[in-house]
Amino acid sequence: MLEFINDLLKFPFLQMALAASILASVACGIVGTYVTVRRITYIAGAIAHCTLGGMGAARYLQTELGLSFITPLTGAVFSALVAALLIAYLQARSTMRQDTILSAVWAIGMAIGLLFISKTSGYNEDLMSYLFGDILMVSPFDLVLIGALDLFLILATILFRRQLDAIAFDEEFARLSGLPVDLYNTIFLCTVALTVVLLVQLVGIILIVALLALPAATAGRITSRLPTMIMVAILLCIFSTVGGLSISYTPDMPAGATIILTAASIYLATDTVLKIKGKLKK
Amino acid sequence: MQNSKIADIVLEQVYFSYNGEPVLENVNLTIDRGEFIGIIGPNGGGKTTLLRLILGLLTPDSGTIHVFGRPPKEVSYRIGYVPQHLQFDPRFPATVFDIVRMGQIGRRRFGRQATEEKRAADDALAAVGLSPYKNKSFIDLSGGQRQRALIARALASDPHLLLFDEPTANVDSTAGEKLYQILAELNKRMTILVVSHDIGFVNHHITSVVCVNHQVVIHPTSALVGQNIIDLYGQDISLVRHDHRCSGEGHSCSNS
Repeated sequence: MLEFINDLLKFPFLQMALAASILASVACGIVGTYVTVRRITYIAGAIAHCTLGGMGAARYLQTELGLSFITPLTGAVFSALVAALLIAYLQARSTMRQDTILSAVWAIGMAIGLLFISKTSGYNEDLMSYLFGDILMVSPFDLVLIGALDLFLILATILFRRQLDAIAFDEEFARLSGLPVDLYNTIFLCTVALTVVLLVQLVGIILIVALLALPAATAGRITSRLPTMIMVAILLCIFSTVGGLSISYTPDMPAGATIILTAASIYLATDTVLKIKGKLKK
Repeated sequence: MQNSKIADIVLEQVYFSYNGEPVLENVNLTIDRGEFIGIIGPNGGGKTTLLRLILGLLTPDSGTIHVFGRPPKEVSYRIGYVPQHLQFDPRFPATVFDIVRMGQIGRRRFGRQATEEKRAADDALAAVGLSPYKNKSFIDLSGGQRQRALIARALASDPHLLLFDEPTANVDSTAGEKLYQILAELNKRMTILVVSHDIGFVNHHITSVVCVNHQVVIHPTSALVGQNIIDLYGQDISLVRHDHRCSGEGHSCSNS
């Protein structure tokens, strides 16, 4: 831990990783809270895994066919938006079960990604970084993108909080009140998709699901209003990412996995404390 | 409000089927302003479908539906809909006041002040007797209180018609009686429709009963006698008699 603090003052790459952790936590806390109260963390999961298809295909087009303007980021944005719109459309129009739709998008996206990655020359290290991310490799450009996303999310939640809350609580009632619920839902899913894409670049597909779900779940246990839940989720996200980063640093453990386990430990500890408190009350 | 013979809801020759399975057939129904209607019938008989047609959430295969003389979708914001409290995430992080304010979401207009909206929400809470619970968490309410919070949410949008889906489901009988007292008070200002599985409920506030089992017939409460119930449910069940006043309109049931 001390070594981490010492090196933090010395190495710009660590400072960038720290900044990325904090910026990503803001987005995770906001989107994670809405995704959690709407019980759609699995939609975020499906979109996240689907981005592997986009990133794999883009990497293939870039290195094998020499289309240098296509980057994994553009591929990820494209596939995440396609996944979000497809899920929104199928949910509204199809009689398929929701979990079937999500499993299909999830698996098909990953399969496409794996196919392209296997046909792309180079190291398979790409795959590992897509799945688990590497927060220590963040570029200044990434930071600018995430900062912009944070600004957008903060503004959107302040301006449309009441509409978002009403739809999250009771979609049908919101529809009857005259809100364009389908439009809100589509924009919401696209926002989830963009958040997922930007954060996947940082923390990887698997970590993003954990960062959306776990801090918000913990926050939900200890707060009773949405605005406070968002604040607490953001703080817990920062605590998990910065904590995980510093714990993993000296023993040279993978940062992503350590961050997930930190967030999970916080959830379990909160849950245990609340259960003991509940028992003592009786 | 009680100036009678203004029809709030008119259904004419309405047919509705779900996946090719007919749910409602040839429904003709007129509900006048100021009535307090109980909608009863067996599970799968089409009660909820009827409610959703009136709300404009479903479109009939054929026939016409008018609410306040207009297609339901155009006036749904004037209908206060109160769903069952059970369908909500019991962990949703919001205070009672937050929930009630959600009722005003579609009515935001320029010039309408936030303070005015808050006062309307306070009035709605007072009407259901939940004022002391204003800042309590929705999670901490009992079933009956949650149901009342949802009524307040519907009232906060200043509706002209209230529709209830099973208001007394999973609510104990004292809380259920309290709910009906609140509804009776509200009935002085607006038309009320209540869907219920419960046939014993028909409490003296209800003016007419709509029986739904693929077809729809309307009875004044006094006319709901044994044979109708047997026709509706296909078996004899014990009956609770309530109001014996006979409505001037008489018994309009034709196919029982």
